[in-house]
Amino acid sequence: MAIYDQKFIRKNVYKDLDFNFTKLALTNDVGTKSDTNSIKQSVVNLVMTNFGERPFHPEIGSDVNALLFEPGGALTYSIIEDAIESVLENFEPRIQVLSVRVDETGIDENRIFVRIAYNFLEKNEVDSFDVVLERLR
Amino acid sequence: MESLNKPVVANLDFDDIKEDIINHFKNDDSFKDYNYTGSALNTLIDILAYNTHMNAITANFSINEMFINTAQKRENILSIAKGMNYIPTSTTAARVELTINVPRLGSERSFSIPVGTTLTASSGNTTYTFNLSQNYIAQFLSNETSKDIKMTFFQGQRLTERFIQDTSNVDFPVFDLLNTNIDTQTLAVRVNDIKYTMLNPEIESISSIDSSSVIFFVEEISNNRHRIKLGNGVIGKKVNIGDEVVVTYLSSVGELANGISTYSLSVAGRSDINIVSNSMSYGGASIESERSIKDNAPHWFQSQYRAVTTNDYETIVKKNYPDIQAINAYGGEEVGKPGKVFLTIKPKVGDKLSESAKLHIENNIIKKFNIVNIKPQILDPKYIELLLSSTIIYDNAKLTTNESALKNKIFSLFTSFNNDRLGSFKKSFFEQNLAEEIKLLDKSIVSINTRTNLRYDAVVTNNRLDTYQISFNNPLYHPLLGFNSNKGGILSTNDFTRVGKSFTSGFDDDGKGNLRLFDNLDNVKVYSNNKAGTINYGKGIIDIKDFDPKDGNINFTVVPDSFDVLSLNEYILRISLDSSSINIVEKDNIELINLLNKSRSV
Repeated sequence: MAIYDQKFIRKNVYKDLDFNFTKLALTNDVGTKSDTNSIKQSVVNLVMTNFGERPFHPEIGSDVNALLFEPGGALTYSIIEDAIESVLENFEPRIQVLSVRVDETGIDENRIFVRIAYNFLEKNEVDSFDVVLERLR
Repeated sequence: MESLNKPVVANLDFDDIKEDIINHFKNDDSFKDYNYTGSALNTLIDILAYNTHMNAITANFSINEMFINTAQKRENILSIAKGMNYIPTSTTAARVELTINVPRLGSERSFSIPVGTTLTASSGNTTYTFNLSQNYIAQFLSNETSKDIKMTFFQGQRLTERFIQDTSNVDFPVFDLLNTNIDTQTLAVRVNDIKYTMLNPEIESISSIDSSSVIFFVEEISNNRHRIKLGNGVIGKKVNIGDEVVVTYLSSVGELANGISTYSLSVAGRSDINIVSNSMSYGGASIESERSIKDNAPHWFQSQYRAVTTNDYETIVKKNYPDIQAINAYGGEEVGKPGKVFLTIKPKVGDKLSESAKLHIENNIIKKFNIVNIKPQILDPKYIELLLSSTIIYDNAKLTTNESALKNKIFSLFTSFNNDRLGSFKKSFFEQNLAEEIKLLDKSIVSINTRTNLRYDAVVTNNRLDTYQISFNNPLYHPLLGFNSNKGGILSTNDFTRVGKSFTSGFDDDGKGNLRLFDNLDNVKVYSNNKAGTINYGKGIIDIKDFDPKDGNINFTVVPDSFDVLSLNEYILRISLDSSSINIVEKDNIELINLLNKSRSV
């Protein structure tokens, strides 16, 4: 008799809309993001949200966009790291932020990379990804 | 459970709306991240909730602004009131009536005092200017050396605006006046030097108005300013291109100029013209408030510009004489005087109207609206002082301040109670209301017992009382015939002096319905008249027979039957702060509680 083993069943803990509104080729439905991808999308969204942008909740967001106009250097990078860490700690309870590091290798292309390492609490998985911050003008 | 998932459409708050939408998503397993701030779904819900919130607020405001009870913006209140033919009262200039003496110079036959002659008046550090609104002429008879003339001055700055009509074919051309605080009753409009008459709903008779009528309308526009509207060639004479419209008016400070009694007159070239007598200035008021428009407009519409019911009288007087804090009208049949209507008016400043103000209201306002066979009479409000004796029992363990601070809090409450719950007509005193408010003052208060006595302060002028019948309008304490007769019943007065006597006197009652007049001789009451009047315990009415007091005050104090005191007719209740007492007692002080906490003060 077959034994039903729950650990082999794939189950999404988190599921969100794909903010790019991609179309699924098979069903023509709107694309979705789940689990790690959903969290990464949320993290990018929070980092890129300016204070005052969300209606009635001016406390949500970070001032990373404004900081991109500050003189480059260790001090500004440190402030950016703090700002990102702070917004994630306040508004993304699904992860534990392990580190936020600014990488200035792309500075000549007017961009910086921010590497965010985190622990996905529900599954206890450690992961990291880069967020690219670019000035729009 | 299903009902819980339905959206609450009455929600206006952004967070509540968002919560509703999130609850909706909880029923659908397709998405799970709606609750996380950074998720795409949460961001979209934010936008949706914002949109819903804005739509709900817009709908709410729009609908509220459509009805006079709920409208908030003055422009909308004015617009709705206009539909009821109600023109809100503008700022009203204070007026003063005075008599001046004009000496005759040589054999002149007359002397004219022109419009615009000013009178200056000082109130504190501020000086106000009063203007003459019409020409007065002193005509001398052959043997007269001087003439006294009565005239009325109005407070304000006299201003003139000039407009030139620059367009043609305009229906009802309008001219917006630049200044605020205009008294529209002082508006004088001349078109090409022809005087126009203001038309308002109460005198408007549209059938008698034709294309040649020289009339204008006034209406309030935004920011407390006013607009003149002229005829369109069908209703009222039309103005043509190039016509000159000159508007003169007073811009007044309203009620600030009320109650002034010192004036100095200056007539150009005549320093010998003096003031003989003057009244106190009265009648000034600010532009009608939104609250007042909301109250008055429906009543005004209901009255149809005729004083029939008591409510009509109140509305019409309030509309035309805005310096009124409280007004009460009642029919004479209620007090055994049919054919009369009594109006009791409490002005915004002071306790009663001046005689000039009463005459002005009777002759210039009520007469225009009154039914022929009804005689209106304006009475002064009468005040019944409530002498409270409150015993407050408190728990020391819960008292965060001290007894003295608690007592001060209660006295402050008495003041606010006077302003909010009493101090006007038909506002009765309910002991329970006071007790509830005292209880809220401090958590340490365990019990409140308030005993009330009533006092009427009669004034003696020229050896006569201002009234010989005092209606307390509430049953008086009278448990049995002859109650407390030996100790003076339930009525007492202060000591007063009678004409020709060196000792003081007083009144009390015998518990059988008789007032007794006594003299204080060597600290002993000696009754000089055992039937000096009557006291009706059931109705709370005291009738005093004529006697011989010296000028001053006589305070009549009685004990009411009930803890609650009702206010009727021309009587206003107020707590006497000077004569009320508060006893603060700790809850374990049994002896003192037994002494103080009694239900009667007799």
